[in-house]
Amino acid sequence: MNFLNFNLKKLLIIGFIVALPLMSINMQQNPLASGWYDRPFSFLAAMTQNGFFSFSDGVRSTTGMYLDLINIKKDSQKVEDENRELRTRLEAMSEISKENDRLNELLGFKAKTKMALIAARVMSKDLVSDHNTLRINKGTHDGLKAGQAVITTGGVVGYIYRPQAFTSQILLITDRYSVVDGIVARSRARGIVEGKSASNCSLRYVERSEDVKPGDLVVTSGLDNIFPKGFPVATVESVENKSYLVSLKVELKPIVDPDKVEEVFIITNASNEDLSDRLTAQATTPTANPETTVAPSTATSSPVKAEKKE
Amino acid sequence: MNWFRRNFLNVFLVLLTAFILSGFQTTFWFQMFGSLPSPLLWLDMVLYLILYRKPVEGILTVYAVGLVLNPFTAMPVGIIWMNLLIVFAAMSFIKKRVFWPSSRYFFVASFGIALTWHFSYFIVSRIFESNPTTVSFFHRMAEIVFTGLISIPIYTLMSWIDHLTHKETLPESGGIEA
Repeated sequence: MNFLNFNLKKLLIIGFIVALPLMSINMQQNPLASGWYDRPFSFLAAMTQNGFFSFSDGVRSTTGMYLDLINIKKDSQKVEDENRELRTRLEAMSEISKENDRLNELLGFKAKTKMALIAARVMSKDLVSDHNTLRINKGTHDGLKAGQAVITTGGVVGYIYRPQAFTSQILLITDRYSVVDGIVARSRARGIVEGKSASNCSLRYVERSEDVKPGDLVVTSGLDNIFPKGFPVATVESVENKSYLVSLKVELKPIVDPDKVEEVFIITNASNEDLSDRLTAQATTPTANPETTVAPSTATSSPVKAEKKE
Repeated sequence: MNWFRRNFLNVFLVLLTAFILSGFQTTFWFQMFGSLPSPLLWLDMVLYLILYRKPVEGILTVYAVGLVLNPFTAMPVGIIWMNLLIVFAAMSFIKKRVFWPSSRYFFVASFGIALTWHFSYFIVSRIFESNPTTVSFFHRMAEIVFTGLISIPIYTLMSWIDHLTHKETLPESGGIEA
């Protein structure tokens, strides 16, 4: 068998095909930056998602109207018709009232805080379930930049990632690529909040001698210059202190459930805000619904000034 | 319509379809069904390209689809390409041994490609990422089932695009050889 008798063209094609992804992985230095080749695709993706977002709104309202019509037609008696209509209206009013409360809360938060905020609506989620990102309907045209903090009145949501002209992606704190500098509100133990799965995070690099207990509130440290100091991130779910580990194994449950976020705030300037003195270690009840979470700026509990435990 | 125009139009329509399917999956599905696992519509399209294109043409088109998918996810383009390459190799290997051009084969193969995708990403993530992905068994299973169930409409759509652009598809297994 002659080993030198090979098809050079075929070999080059196979080499190119295999080398392309490896080179791409190797060349990627900054995950927040997007390459030149990515820009037209990103622009078209944003346009497509904008279109589907508007389409979804239309379909929702049309479906709602259609269902109402079917209900009305099915009811033969006049009284039942009126009753059903009133009930439907009541439900709609209730929904509007809830939305109104939520928006009022957002407005109140915006009015009370010293931070410069931009409100945005959530449009879409990530293409694959292995990553946790959301796309919002505000972009560089509205003054957004990569790395800006995204919050709700309840707590931290994530930060801006690959902003486009009219839309932006948010890297949620539950995404595996996301890292946020955090601190345990009660004991001041410091660590890095790292995403893990769709509904969990972990607090890494916490020294084994630190005092961390389930139920503790983890807040932002402010050291990353992205989030204001003392904003709620997550609550401690479990703590493991293994002898063979260098640091504590701390599992966290995010304060804000990403699946239920509809409106968010982007912090464009947080230099005047320090929320650390408004939080208490007792304000740690995990809540799945951001709408019911007390905003830190309106919390009435006493300040936390616990010293870092040696 | 000459060969170049026909193929250019075909690739253009395929990429446009990738945008539409990805937009539908990430926005429309999310707005309607919230956190319910979504079918990987684009993966069914990738399967069609693996089954009904010559190997080199197929992998290059699949890489182009990878570029389209990139803005819709936080997954880096290199990782997307690596996974697509593994999926392409695995499905081509199966195709070389068992293949008959029909929607029923496509339906069965769509479950296979979804399973391969999740398995492949799980391995690639362990190798290339410092914070690898979790198992999330039930979520992944739901995605695999949904991807299989939605495959026939995608097959019909892709066949229609090929018919519209007079694209010559492979009548039988092309194998690995070009």
